[in-house]
Amino acid sequence: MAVRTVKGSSYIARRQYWGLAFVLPTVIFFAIFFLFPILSGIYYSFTDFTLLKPPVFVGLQNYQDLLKDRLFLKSISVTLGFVAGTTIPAWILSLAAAVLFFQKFKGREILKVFFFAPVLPSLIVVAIVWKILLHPSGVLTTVLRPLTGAGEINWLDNPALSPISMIIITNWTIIPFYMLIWLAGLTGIPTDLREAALVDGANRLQSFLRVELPLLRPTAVFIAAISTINAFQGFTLQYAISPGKGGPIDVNTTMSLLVWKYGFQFYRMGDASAVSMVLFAMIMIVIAVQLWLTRQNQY
Amino acid sequence: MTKRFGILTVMIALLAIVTSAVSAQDPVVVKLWMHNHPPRVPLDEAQIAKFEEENPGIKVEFTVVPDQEWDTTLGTALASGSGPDLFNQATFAIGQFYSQGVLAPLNPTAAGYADQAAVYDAYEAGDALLAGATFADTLYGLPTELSAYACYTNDALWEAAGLDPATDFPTTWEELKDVAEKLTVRDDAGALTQRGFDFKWDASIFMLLIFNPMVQQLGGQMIDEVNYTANINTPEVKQVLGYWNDWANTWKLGGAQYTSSRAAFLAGELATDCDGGNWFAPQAEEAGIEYSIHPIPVWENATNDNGFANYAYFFMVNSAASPEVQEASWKLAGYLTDNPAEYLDVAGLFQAKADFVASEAFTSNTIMPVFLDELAASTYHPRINGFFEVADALMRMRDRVVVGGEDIDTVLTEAQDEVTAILEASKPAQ
Repeated sequence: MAVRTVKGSSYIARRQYWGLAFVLPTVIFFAIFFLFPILSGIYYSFTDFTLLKPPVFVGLQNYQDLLKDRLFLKSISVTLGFVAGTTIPAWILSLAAAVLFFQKFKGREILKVFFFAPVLPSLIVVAIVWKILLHPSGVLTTVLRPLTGAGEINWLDNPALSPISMIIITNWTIIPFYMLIWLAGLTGIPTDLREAALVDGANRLQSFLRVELPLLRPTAVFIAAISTINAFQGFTLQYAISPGKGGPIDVNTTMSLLVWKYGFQFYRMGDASAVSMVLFAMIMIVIAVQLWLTRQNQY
Repeated sequence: MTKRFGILTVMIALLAIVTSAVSAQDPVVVKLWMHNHPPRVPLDEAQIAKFEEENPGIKVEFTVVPDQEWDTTLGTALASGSGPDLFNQATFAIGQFYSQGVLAPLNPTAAGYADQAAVYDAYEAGDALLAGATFADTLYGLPTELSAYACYTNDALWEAAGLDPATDFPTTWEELKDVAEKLTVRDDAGALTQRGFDFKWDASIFMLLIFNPMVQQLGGQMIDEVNYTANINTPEVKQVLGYWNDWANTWKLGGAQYTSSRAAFLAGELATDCDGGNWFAPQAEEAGIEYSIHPIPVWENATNDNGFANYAYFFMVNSAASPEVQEASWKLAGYLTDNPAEYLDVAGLFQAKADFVASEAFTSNTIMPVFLDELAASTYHPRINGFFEVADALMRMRDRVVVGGEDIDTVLTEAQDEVTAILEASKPAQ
């Protein structure tokens, strides 16, 4: 019996070693490419680091400076505006699109392909195409001319219109993707539940609101989390097509763009790291709140 | 035991001798980084091959970095200690690099000169043109390309408007406005389909390359690079900013919202572009544009007749490299800057060696004398630590007035404070 126990332990130990061996590459990859940069970022946020000279520890100085940094404070409001514009409308519109495509109608599959097309090209390609479309006298202006009467519209260079343009372009690319996730969620709801609701006298709207929507909660949590993270990290579009990379007058300088600007344009890597840590904390807080809210009244 | 120890000692000694003999034969490796200018890459490769053949003790590791990635790649590489030994860097960030001790002073003898004075003598207007890499009377680089802007006219568009670029090209900014109006075309809805002239609005550095020199023409200077002070809330800056604002909003002749000036010129949508160096000529030719080149206009009330700011790319050597690598790097830099005719001819890059400028190849060139005049009449942009941050603040100042419609006096007052704060924070410790 004792021998068998030893044999068993050795077998389990061997299996554990093999398990560890298989996991090790991922652990090493995670440590090198995720953990190390995060820890480095935390460290650099406490330093005066210009990239060109070794970092010098300055304690909380960078964070104190951020409190009176006009550009940083503006980037927070720009980021929050961008988050608001590319999350809540995207959730609602993508859900509406998913509900539409969940219905059976002629040409649905072809229409779905067209609707999904904006997700396929990279964001930089999308940016270039939209930059052409948003030329002051470009296609969009021409299309709207009967309504506006304007020969030219400064879509990207007007401080009021420019952030809205960014939000519209972003929504154009992300809504089809979230629509697909909603659609997967809708497909996963057992048909008999809907049928039961209808048998019990509920109409389609009541069935959707009372039966399907509550069951879509896990999907909603997932979409809310990834869309919020993506929105907080908004960078590519602002970098690629906003005038002067974040302009005009910094109305498109998101916190992510500010990290790039401070780090690689102004050689202020310590400040850039501090901004990225604040951004990291903001994302964590918002996601934690989202998760906390969705834990309430769980079915 | 003693015998064994003796044998071991002899073996170690032999190993040491062999190792040192091998390392003595090891070439010095120079890591050279260049930004991507496709026409010069094959030329560099050929020159480097010849250099290695003539200098078997030096091996060159040549890397071409895409333009868009240059600053990020170089910065991170220098931070991690894996940066190049020799690199071709624009003067925009040279103040940053110099003030942080990244640059090694030129080793004139290694580069093939008797001393530093001989380097200045070897270049046309050496004191002025090498000023871009001179700090406290010490030279920190050898120029790979010197650039000044001049005005390119699309002669077909000028002729279509009934103008002759040779005789009608304006000499003042005030005249330019009148000429641009004649060259501007609008569609029925009032949208601009052709601009007569427009500024380069799309990147902040042009506030120091174009806007500031227009202030200098009036006797002002927004940035004092020696004392790190700002002079922005001045009548000169107000005049220039007012002109840019009128250009976009009162006269509606252009603005930041339109296609960038160079791209618009190459597309035949802009009749006059004043932000092209001599390197722009091949692009205009490739676009099928018949062009002529003219000096930068000045103000009617100008006190200086400078053009736009000079800028350049210089070979610079990493001060963190070992002394022998630094020496080899300067030797390579000297070698690669010793063929100015070929670099101008093949790659369109101007290295103003005095003997080349005096040669038939240069004097018979139809456009280069104009650019040399502009270079000689102008000065470098401010070479400060914090160059890009100051440029960013100046662009914000411009946009608050031109795009945001804010009161110019209020904006200038606040810009003065903002840039002063940036300069104070950027000023290198004495």
